Amino acid sequence: MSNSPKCEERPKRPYPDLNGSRQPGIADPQWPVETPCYVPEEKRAGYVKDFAGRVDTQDWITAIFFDVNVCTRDDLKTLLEDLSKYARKEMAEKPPESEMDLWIPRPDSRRVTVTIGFGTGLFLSAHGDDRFGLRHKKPKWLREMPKTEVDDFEPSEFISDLVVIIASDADQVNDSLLMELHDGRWHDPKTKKPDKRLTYKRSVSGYQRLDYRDHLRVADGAANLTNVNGDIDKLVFIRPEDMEPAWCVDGSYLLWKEIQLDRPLFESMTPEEQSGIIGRNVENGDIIPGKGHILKVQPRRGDHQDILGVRDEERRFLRRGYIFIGNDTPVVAGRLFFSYMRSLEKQGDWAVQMWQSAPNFPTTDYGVDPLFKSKVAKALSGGYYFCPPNAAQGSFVGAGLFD
Amino acid sequence: MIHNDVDYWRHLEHLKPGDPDLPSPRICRLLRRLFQRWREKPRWLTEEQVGHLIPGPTGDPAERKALSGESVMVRKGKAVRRMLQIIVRDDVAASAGSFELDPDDLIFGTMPPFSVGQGKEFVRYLKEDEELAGMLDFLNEMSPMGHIAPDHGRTVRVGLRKMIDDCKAKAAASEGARERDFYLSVIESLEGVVEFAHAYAHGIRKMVDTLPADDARRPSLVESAARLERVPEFPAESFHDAVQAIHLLHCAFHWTVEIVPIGRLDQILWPILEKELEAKQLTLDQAQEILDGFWIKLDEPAILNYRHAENRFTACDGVLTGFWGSSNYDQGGLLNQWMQQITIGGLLPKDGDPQDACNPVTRLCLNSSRRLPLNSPTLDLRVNGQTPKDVLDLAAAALLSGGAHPVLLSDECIVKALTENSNNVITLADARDYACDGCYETMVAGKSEFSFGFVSATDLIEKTLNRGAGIAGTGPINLRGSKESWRSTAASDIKDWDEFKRILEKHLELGCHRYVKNLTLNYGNKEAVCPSPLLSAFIGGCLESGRDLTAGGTDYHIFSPLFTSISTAADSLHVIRKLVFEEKKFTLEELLTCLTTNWGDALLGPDGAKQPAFGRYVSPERIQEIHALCKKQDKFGYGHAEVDKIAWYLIDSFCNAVRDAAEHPVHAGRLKDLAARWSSPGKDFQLIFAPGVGTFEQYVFSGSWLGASADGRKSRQPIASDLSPAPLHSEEDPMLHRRTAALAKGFASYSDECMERLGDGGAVDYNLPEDFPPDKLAALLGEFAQGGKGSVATFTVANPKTLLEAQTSPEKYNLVRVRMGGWSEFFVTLFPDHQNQHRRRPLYTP
Repeated sequence: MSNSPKCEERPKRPYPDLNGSRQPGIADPQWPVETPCYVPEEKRAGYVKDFAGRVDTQDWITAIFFDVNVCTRDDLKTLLEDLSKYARKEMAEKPPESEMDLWIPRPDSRRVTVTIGFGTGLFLSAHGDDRFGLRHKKPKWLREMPKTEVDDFEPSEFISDLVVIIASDADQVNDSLLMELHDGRWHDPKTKKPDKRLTYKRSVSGYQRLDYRDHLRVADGAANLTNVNGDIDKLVFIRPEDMEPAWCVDGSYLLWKEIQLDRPLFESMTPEEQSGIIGRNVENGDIIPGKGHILKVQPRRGDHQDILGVRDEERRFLRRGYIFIGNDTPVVAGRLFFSYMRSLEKQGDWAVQMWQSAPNFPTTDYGVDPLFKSKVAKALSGGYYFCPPNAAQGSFVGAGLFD
Repeated sequence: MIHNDVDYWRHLEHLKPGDPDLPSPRICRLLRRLFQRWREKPRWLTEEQVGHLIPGPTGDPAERKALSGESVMVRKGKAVRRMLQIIVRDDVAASAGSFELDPDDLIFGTMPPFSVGQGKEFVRYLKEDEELAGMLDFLNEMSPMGHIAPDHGRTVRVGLRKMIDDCKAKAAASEGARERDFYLSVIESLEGVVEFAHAYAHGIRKMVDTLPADDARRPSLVESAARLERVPEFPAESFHDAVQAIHLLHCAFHWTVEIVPIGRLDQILWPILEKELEAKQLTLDQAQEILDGFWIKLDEPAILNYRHAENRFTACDGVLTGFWGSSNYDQGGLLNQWMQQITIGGLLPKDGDPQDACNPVTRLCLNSSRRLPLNSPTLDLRVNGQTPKDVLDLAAAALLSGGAHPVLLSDECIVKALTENSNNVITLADARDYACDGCYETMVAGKSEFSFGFVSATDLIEKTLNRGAGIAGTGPINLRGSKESWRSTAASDIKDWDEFKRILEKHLELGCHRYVKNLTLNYGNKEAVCPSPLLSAFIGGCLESGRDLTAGGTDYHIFSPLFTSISTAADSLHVIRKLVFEEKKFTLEELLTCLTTNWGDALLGPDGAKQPAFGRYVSPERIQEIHALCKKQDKFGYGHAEVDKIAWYLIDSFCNAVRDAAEHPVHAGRLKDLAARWSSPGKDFQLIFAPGVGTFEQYVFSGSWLGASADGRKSRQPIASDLSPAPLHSEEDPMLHRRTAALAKGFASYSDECMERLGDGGAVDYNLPEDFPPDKLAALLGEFAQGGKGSVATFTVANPKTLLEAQTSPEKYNLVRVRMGGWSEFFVTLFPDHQNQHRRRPLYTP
């Protein structure tokens, strides 16, 4: 496979960064910015365009939402210590040896990441109570997700104290962790006494298509952030100058949404209609200027500065999208969006409230995002969280809360 | 009108650059941060963080001994300094949010969350025996009431260093320990403020170090740091300096339990801005941006959810001077009130022909109030026959933006009342220099101490009907009711309307006498417990006389007995005169039973044998018949002359009673004692009684101890705010505005000369529909400015439907603001009882 006799690396998907300052599963695994030596000459241009510096999302995702069922600050600290230990152990786990003599190459890693996010309720409950004396440590922009014109759900019904996001290349890994966490066996899998410190609320799961198309079979992610120009570093993680509490540096805000996509409805439309809704020619991928969903969620107005003196490109954020298929009849399917950003206010909130759901953006009476207006898409649930920086060896996620 | 923050941003996004409603990008970024803050529970200092000035058993014994040997006055000054040191400490700031910096800030200084309703924290400095002595009078370290306008002109023109040096000289020359300690205390306080400013300068420099080298805000932040090393220690050299100096001192006041307004900001700032504009060192747009930045700082501690409020009140918080008793008032209506009144417009402070004082800063203030959707500061626009039309246009536009700003005050009424109807003590030039205190009450800016008390008009009717007893307490426990006044003629024996009035006036006189008695008895009791050295330094007369403002040091001593529930009283008296004495539809005794039984709700007896606990039996059916008749009668505030005249009679009687009480021999001895104790060379001590009408936020509280009233109102239900028409009664669902009248008709109800006797003003709170035409409103404001339409007018702009929906969808209406006198509040922050009162108010149409 190597295009160079000197290249000794084998082709492989990138690994998560388990020991960096940022939690795994946000901006990693990430393809190297520099084209690896094993990429054949004829594929190198394609690598630069579609892979370099981009996140290589694992194949499977499971997000589990919990409320915290402890009363004191010390108990919360212990809980987060235990949860971090569990996450670290699972991420370090190697795929088990098989008893079968397989002739196909076995992966040396399931690329498991366990990302922990804190809901606003951990700092200030919906009723205004500072349960753990952590109000003063709350990330500046963290709050309950506001309901907008494109939402068919009440965000207040989906709030939780914690989210644990498991991503891996093997669905059995996700299922196993989901069961352990759901059943309270995560702390000690052999226990007969469930750990009740986490109250399970719900979970969502999804998968990634290798061709990066969504449930509508439309390519997704072409305009997603890459790190080629350091955009991921600049737009996803909190920096010291952001005037956030010091413990938040290298953390990232999470905006997630579960969006139902009506494929039969979409496929009953003509390609022109589909292209108009998406804002991209569904047959050749060309952007259609001044139209569609893309215009409403990612306007590209060059050097235009809005009323806050911010250019559109500064409001971009990192998206990790997955397809979900529900168990109900009729089948509900769609997209799980996990979006990470440096500032909820500047990025997620603005994009959703001022662009996507604003009836007069970009022009008077344009209406809300055509994807939602046409009923092809319907937001079912979602929320805001803050994913703290990674835990150093011997520490735990959220340790900065207790300094 | 814009109802919520999301719509506000969407509106701004569609404005063209240069639109007067579009703030600068920097201001917009600060607003984004502000809106987020409002959604959160503010951080608070803990009692442990502020601690006690005197070290405890584990502290330094030498320091303990030294501080224990100091007077309360000196310790208070040191406590002020200590407090300002504590709040800028990194560890305290991190948990309490007491020292916050943002690279976008144009003005620095973090306001405390110590609202009038939520209470405060402060360094304790009293020794145990002093605490006990104070507590016997319901006083402690939290008792200063602020509520008076400091002279920020000193901050801007003189600077604190010069004031400190002057105080040092005076301390050295002092003959008595009391005077010397006062100056030493002022010096400590002022040094604390200078250090406070320097801490900000240091903090800003540290923040600059965290910013990327190419951050465009670095130069202005470096300038801000240099500014805070310069002001308020030294005189301001620029408009930006002046605003920064005022804000920093304002923060220092509020952190040290002096909750005070700003004063006549346009008069203070214009001279310095005028010079800069002439020298082309600053543009009006730049000045506007600075002022917008200041406005935002003043509203940082607001909350949008009453669940985010604290209650740090002690029994002794913010005690009204002259009042004896525990501090319990309508905190629920005061969650977002910091008494941050900014007074603009009006007249120049000089004798001779009146000359309008509006200037470009007046207009900048109105712009900030219009384009920034804030609750605080409250803008008070003084108007008169010379007020320029464009200022009135700007005022109308600001009001219709939904902010309930500005309040309008009639110079014609108030200057006359302060000069001619307030003991003839205040000079014309000083009366023309009045500013609002924390609410709308008026006082000579930077020269007055001030306090107030309440006399309830509706309570007087209860006493008149019920032989000196209140009606709310009638029943099995108190039988006739709570006995508090003369045992006057029984209702059955009152022969006619004139006799009824004479009895009412006797009860009124007693209420006013009691106010004067309490004031003269308790005046001066704060000095030994909670003096105000920092604030005294900025009130005329104190540094000159060497006396704290709690010790008679100020130039003026203005005290305002305030008449409350006039509209309920006028409506009730109209019923009594017309239906009892003129048409004889029922007897006074029957009416009394209707009221003592709360219109039949409190009848007693088993098995349906419904009867009153006490007094004449009236059948339930008859009570309902009388109730229906009473509710149907005309009400005050809609231009019905026969009812309006009763309100005017009440106000006149009240002003007469205040005047007569103050001059009555029964108080002469105490007044003489006060004069002997508090006069200083060249300055006689004289209490000034400036009557007013006001409930402020206490329309729920004040109604809660009143019984049912003859206008049909049920027992303990809210009354109108201030001098406004009564709201619909609570049982009249759905609780929407159902009484309407033309605004001009409303003005007519306040067209009597009695309004010129209210030196402290009498605010009328009008509700207007959101589609009120701006030009029509400006014209009506112009009519108000000409005089003869009342003394103070406030305007809430909100449709009945808006308020109804805001109760169920607060997030969609989080910028709707309502007003009660000088207070404005986010409607969604109010508790349901307060919200419902606003919804039941009448609506005034074009």
